[in-house]
Amino acid sequence: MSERDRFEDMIRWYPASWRARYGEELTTLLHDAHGTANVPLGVRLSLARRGSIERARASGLLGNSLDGPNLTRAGSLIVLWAWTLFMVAGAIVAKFAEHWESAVPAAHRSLPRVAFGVVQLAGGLGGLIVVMAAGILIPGFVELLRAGKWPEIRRPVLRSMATGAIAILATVAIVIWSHHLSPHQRNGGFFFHGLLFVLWGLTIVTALFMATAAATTVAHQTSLSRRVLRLFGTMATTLTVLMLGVAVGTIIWWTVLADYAPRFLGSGLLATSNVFPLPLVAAVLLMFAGLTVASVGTIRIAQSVSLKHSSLDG
Amino acid sequence: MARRTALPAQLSVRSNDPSVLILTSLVSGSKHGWALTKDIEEFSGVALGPGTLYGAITRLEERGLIEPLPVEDRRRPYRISAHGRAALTEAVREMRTLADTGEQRLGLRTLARFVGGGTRVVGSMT
Repeated sequence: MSERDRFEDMIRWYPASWRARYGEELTTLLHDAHGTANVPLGVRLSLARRGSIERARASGLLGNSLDGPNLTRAGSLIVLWAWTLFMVAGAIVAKFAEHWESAVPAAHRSLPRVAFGVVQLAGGLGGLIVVMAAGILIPGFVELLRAGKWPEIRRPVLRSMATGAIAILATVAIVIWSHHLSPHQRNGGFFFHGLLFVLWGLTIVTALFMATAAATTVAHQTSLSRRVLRLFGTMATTLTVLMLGVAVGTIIWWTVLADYAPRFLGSGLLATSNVFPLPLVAAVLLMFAGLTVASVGTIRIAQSVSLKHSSLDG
Repeated sequence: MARRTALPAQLSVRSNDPSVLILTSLVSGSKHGWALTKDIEEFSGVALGPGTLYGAITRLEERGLIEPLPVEDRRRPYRISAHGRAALTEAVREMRTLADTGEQRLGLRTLARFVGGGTRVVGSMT
């Protein structure tokens, strides 16, 4: 690694847009200050902390340096990250809840059925909104490529494609293998299958986060009209409401099942308690984290409405 | 990405605030990062880390208090803007008011005497 590469590696915590503006100056300063000597750990940690702060500012999480349209964009992307957390939580709940109806006495099924229906409906609508948003972004993405900005988005997009391909291959492999196992082995009766299932889940989660990171980079680089940004803001706010619906529906469903089908909650993969099974606890904690993040994003969108600045260049 | 500009220029009245130190250093002429670090250390004894320095430079530039000059050998000098000078003047006045009040309440006597046509303020314990 060359001297300059060494210093560039130290400022990787800063967002790309910041590095494009100040990166060379900062690496030159580091070179002036430390030359070929070791950079003290304190300086490295300070760079990591400051870089993370700049990243949070660029994404709209901190500070008030963004103008109205870019605050809408940042708020919408924050909500998208929250949705990614919800997708992970939703996948856990969906797997855990398989065949739940047969475990609940018929007389007590209506409330959890409605609650679970709300979770499914809100989840489906949320997914549809995200797909629509991706579709709206495609022309801007093509324009970005035509403008020769591929090098600026290459790394996250390639990472996303690679992790996506691995996730697809892992899915095909585990589906084929599971087909040769008994229902008992597939549902927690075979430790090795359980372990591989968890690993498969991790590849899916990684692919989801990489896809969100790629979408965030592309959306930050794409020039979007004020109308499109307003539409994204509305979609993101709707998504937050849907996430609230998913969280409330899940908690109601869980509460009823804890009352009428505790054995169901206490069975299956990683289920450790009849009331607080680990997968459901993890899923609901993820949902709370997601709702917190989504609230920040929605507040940013609301703040952007009050700002009258009109610069739209991305 | 476009940023909001022309925010009201307000500086912390702390004398070791990085923004105040940078503006104070730039009053004596334009400087790049390394020169700023050395100058600030010399006149204030504060060693600003590179992350802290560039965090402050970013905010000062966003608020229009400093202006970037063309890059010279990978180093970009900055100069204080008229807006920055006004903000620093205000901050220094506030610091002086604070110092005067502190001095008075602590019972420190301030003696002003003329030295070669200028004014020197000497504080001593009473």
